[in-house]
Amino acid sequence: MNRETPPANDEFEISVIGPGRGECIVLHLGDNVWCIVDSCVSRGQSESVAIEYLDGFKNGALDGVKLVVATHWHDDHVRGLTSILKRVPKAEFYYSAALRVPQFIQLVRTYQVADPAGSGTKEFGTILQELEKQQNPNAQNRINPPKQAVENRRLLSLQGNGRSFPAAVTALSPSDATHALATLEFARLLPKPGQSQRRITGFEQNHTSVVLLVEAGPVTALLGADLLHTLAQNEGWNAVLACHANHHNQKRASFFKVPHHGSENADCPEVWTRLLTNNSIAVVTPFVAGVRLPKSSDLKRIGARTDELYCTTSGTGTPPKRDSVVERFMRQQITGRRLLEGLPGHVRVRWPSGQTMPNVVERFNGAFKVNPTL
Amino acid sequence: MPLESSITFSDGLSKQNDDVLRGTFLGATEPPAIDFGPMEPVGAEQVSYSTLLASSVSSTTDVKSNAPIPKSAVLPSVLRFTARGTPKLKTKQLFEGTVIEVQENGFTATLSDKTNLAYPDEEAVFENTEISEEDQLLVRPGSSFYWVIGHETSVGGQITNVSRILFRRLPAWTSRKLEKIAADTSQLNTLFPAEE
Repeated sequence: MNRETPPANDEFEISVIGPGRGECIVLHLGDNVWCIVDSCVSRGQSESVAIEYLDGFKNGALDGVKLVVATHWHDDHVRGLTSILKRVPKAEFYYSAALRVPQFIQLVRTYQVADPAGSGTKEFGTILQELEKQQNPNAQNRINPPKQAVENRRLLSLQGNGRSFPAAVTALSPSDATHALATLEFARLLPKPGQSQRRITGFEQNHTSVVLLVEAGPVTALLGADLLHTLAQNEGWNAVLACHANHHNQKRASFFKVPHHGSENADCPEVWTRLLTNNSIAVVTPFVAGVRLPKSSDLKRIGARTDELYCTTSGTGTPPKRDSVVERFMRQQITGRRLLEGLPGHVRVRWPSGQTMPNVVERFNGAFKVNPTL
Repeated sequence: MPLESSITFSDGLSKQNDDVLRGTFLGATEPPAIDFGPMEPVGAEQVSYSTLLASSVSSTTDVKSNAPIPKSAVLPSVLRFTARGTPKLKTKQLFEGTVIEVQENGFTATLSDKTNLAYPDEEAVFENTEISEEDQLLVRPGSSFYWVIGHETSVGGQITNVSRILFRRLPAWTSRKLEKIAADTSQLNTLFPAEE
């Protein structure tokens, strides 16, 4: 099936799109109702890959987007998010409750003032601008005021006789304990008087991530965002395990968006035994900037837990050719280079009505199934 | 602004001298930054003093108007800057870089192409030897720089390919600025409604 073929009304779909830096998940919850989790952009584009994908169906799918979730604030998960919110202003927009601290808003504003072009807070700065515009009573295309996602909060519930299947999206994180931690960490990122102006480069606040439990008919999926695993019982994956045990104990997911690009520090073995079914479909989105993820050891570790491991992209391709003089200087002056974005690699899974197993896991634009023998 | 200078004219200024003064002679390594004004013929049939005086050339020589210039006379000459400031740089490529990691002998940075906006960002590794000593103090995670590649036309017309990495010198944060942002932020919090 080609990429532009829309799902049937009674099909549940999970699409994981990752061009090498960032990820975006698109869910079809039946009857042309869609949900977008995070956002990234393809090379040379300013709009989210989700818009490009849904527009490609040519059936008004974008109008069916009812829920947009920003799992956390890092650029690789929110780039292009504003373009989505502008196109689907009526959709509910949820962000991590851990960001609802004055220090985060202050951080966004600080870097908006200092250097709007280039910091990790740029996309949230743009959203802030859009929200400010709406204070004007004549503003058009008002986007819904953002809401907070926090553990055990239902973000969307689609029930009723007219539907092909019931569906629900529930947040399993962040925990309350994360809130306090985030406050401290954002405060630490705020510049002090006398410090030189620099961009934010260290992205460590992954424990503010929103993990989602998606229920669609008989299928359950777990979307791990970038949540990390620590020894603390009330944070990270331990807090998710507790939330799941208390409120969703019967639910086992057969689809898993592997957290934090498959990194070891996001790996919680108990998630595989307590939250997932045997041999669940797992999808990893690579991250090529800075420390490259996943490492081959990460793929081996995850591949030992499931035969159904997929990766959205194997690389970002070769750099474009520039003027010969430019190329010559680049060869002379840099000792290594790589592209940070490639084509939007795409893993798509569609479950026919009422079935717990998909017919096929489709792969587009370089996405591949990881060979378990490696 | 015309400058004053002195030069000894000989009878029948040779082409070679003319070229030397204009910096166009074969093999010139560094053309002069100053171009002499139009070379008027000198000698018995040369420019009159009144013409020179009209060109705002000040002279302390007491001369009579319309008198012929004696051969081998030392005359003030009108000079003009042709440089009109500095050499011209034509940019072929501009990157905006951000240092993301500093190593012992270099650093890793992301490069954003400001010439071809459709091109994807790249990550590149630089050695410290590519950075001026002055700028090496600025190499820290988060600091930004421009990388310009192009060709430079000197004041004399020579074209050289150049590549320059220039770290931005952004001002330090001030208490006043940070306090203003903090005050501004308290209003912005209302854009993110509290829990219902």
